[in-house]
Amino acid sequence: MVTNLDFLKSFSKNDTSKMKKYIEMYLTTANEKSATMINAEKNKDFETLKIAAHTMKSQARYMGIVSLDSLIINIEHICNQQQETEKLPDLVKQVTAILAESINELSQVIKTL
Amino acid sequence: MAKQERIIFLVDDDNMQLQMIKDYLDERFEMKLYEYTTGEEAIANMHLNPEIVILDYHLMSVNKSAENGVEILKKMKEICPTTNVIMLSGQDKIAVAVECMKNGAYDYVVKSESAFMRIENIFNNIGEHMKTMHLLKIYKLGFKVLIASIILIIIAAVIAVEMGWATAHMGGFD
Repeated sequence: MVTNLDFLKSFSKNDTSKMKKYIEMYLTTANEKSATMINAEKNKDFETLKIAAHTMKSQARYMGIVSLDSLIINIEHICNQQQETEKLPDLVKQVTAILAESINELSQVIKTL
Repeated sequence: MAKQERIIFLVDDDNMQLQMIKDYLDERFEMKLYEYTTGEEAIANMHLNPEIVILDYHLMSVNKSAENGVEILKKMKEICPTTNVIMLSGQDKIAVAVECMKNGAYDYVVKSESAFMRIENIFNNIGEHMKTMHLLKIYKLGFKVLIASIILIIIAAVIAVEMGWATAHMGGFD
């Protein structure tokens, strides 16, 4: 499991309609930003890649995806400095893999709400 | 918790963040909350004189040419210096926080699980500050009224004494 919904449950006070609303928003953003990150990395568009990664940072925190934080911080740093950009393909691959896993997990969760 | 009617602007291009803050504040404060996804929209509505603006530092996730939060902060403080602007950011870099505070931000909150409670605390602090400022205004006004009354009493007393003196002297001529 890459996600942990303890925070979201506590934040929503177990209100399932609110949880569903936030998870749906996350799923939309995660799908969209995954595609954006893959394309931006291919096109060496560091600014777009940095912005897409940044958007996912806080949303992933709320879904309890702790494994994303340091990877995203790395991407942001490399994009800002434009140094060691050869590391980006692997970082983006790892981030999008975690996002895909989180999308699968949360799509299952949403069915139970 | 005492509820107060307040005008609040929430400026963030991240829909989920916007919705979560809105839901959290709605449960806790009596307020009129305006949501904007760009800083430019919020600037255009500053005539509403918001007490608090919660402003995202990065406002470029949808529109890359949008001005960033610090530029928007500067403009907001120019238009409405009394508005308290809380900067919200995914970055926990001290330099970013310092830059925001230097440009007039009331506080700086990092987007994380604890951000909501921090915002609530800041709201309460601002509320207390506003109450204190209001009381101070009343005390200042009261003090001015008191001073004016004392001056009037002194003038009246002086006039009374003068009149008494004049009456006594006029009596002397008789």
